[in-house]
Amino acid sequence: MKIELTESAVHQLQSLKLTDGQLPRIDANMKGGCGLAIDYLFLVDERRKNDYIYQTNGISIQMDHFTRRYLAEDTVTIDYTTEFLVLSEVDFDSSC
Amino acid sequence: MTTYHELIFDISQPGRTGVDLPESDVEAINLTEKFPAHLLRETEADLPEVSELQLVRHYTALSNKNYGVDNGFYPLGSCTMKYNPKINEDVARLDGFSQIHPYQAEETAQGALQLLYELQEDLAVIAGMDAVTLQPSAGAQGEWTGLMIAKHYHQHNGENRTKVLVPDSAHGTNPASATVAGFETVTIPSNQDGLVDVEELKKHVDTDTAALMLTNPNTLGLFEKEISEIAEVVHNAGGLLYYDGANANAILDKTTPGKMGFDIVHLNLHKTFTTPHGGGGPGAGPVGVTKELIPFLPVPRIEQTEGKYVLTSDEDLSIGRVKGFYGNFGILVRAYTYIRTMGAEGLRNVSESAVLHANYLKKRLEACYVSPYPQICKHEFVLSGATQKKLGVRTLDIAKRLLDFGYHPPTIYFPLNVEEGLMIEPTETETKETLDAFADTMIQIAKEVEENPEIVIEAPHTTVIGRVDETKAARKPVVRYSKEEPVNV
Repeated sequence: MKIELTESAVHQLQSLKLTDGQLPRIDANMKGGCGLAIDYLFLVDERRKNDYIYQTNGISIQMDHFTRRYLAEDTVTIDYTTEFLVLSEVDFDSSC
Repeated sequence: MTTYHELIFDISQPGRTGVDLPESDVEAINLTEKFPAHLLRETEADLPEVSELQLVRHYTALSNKNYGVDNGFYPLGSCTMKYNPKINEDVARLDGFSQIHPYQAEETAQGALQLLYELQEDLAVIAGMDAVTLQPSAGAQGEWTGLMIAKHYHQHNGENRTKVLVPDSAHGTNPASATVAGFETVTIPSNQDGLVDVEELKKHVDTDTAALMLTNPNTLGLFEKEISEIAEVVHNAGGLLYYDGANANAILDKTTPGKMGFDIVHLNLHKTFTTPHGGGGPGAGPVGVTKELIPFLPVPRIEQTEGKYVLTSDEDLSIGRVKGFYGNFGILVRAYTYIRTMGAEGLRNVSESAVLHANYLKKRLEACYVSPYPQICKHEFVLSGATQKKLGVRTLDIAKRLLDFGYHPPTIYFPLNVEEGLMIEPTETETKETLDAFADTMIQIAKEVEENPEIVIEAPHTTVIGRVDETKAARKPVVRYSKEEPVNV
């Protein structure tokens, strides 16, 4: 997996004030019921056990095993406009 | 050893057959001469050629891949996966029911019409409605039928109401049905107790509101205590209250949607009334209405006149037909059998036991999983896997691990307002031993998450197929058999 940051995302991430133990995170967001949908959030939170840490543009980004499983073969782009956006081809909706 | 996991096309051998017909003693005709040339196949149909025994083993192997309530515990929240009594099947197979034809004259099908009429009456009592149609062939079609009734009712009153309100915990079919019926959907947020936020509701109800769709108990398994005020708010604005009967298993003979102020009700016979969950059909989603809405019910309607049961279609205001003939008759026979077998007292016991089972299981699991709504629940409850998420294991992993222990997982990631949600509905038909065994397993999985998360993250381990790549399945589905690229399942 490759993580790319847009210029605006790098600028915004460098200005983030993180408390001890916190890092930016790419996180799979599941929505279920009769079907299953997945998209990705970009947030800042504490470490989870067995997180993977990726380094890009000098910035550390964490991801759990579950999220990594979905993004393993993809290039993920983080953009920032008024909020952080995770751009990936690996989101989907399925339903019955 | 042959395990019969191959597709039937893969075990096909040219010339093999499962039938041995005698020589024909009538003159053969050439079928290709009976059809226009442009409709004839240019190549032979590539059908499998197998023996009768191979065929039996193939379909037996397929049936063994199914998991149903007859196999084991199936705590799928809001789906009410209760046992389907076999007496329902016996009655549905009686010649008098299974051998009749919908084109028969009414006077030769009086028994069937009587059954349908009495089922309408029984469901009307259970729902607290004044009349019921049995035509809709599923819960979602029941929703659409109910909303079309609401639409015609408002139009008949000279109003073109455009909005249907649904709470954020609503079943996904609610906004979908509203959209198909031509309405705009407006979502009403829940309050911190998981109930409809009445103050937010008041902000959204206006003269454009056609209806509010609600389940009660809601999908969190919580009873909407403010239902009387909710009904008043909607009715004062001229709107109608629609009851999604998905969770009716919690209220049988305890209360009715009619008493709560609902105007339209659909009931899922495959949930509350023990007809099979058909995996797409056949099903039934009868719709009940209050007396003001009776003229808008679908036709034909079944009525009793001078000691006979008749079908009537002369309702000027009716929304028309919503299903061929009179609904899925065989399913309706099963639901009728269940209701008559249980009686009112039996149905009350159903709801009381369903609620007791849910609360027992909830209490046992609260020690290991976050319970975002710790109050007493009704027939189902929702836990959160938030604690396990911090340990690097997600709710989907827990669901997959349950497969290793022979359980169907609960509904997951729903409702959407619960982080890493696990929605559990044990139903009344399970024993205490089953509830305890399931609770023990969930507690064991919670311990595994702490001590050996790999075993959960990589689950399932004991199924024919391990963890499926959902992304690939959704983006690159293989839905057509290809001899060149056979798929072994």
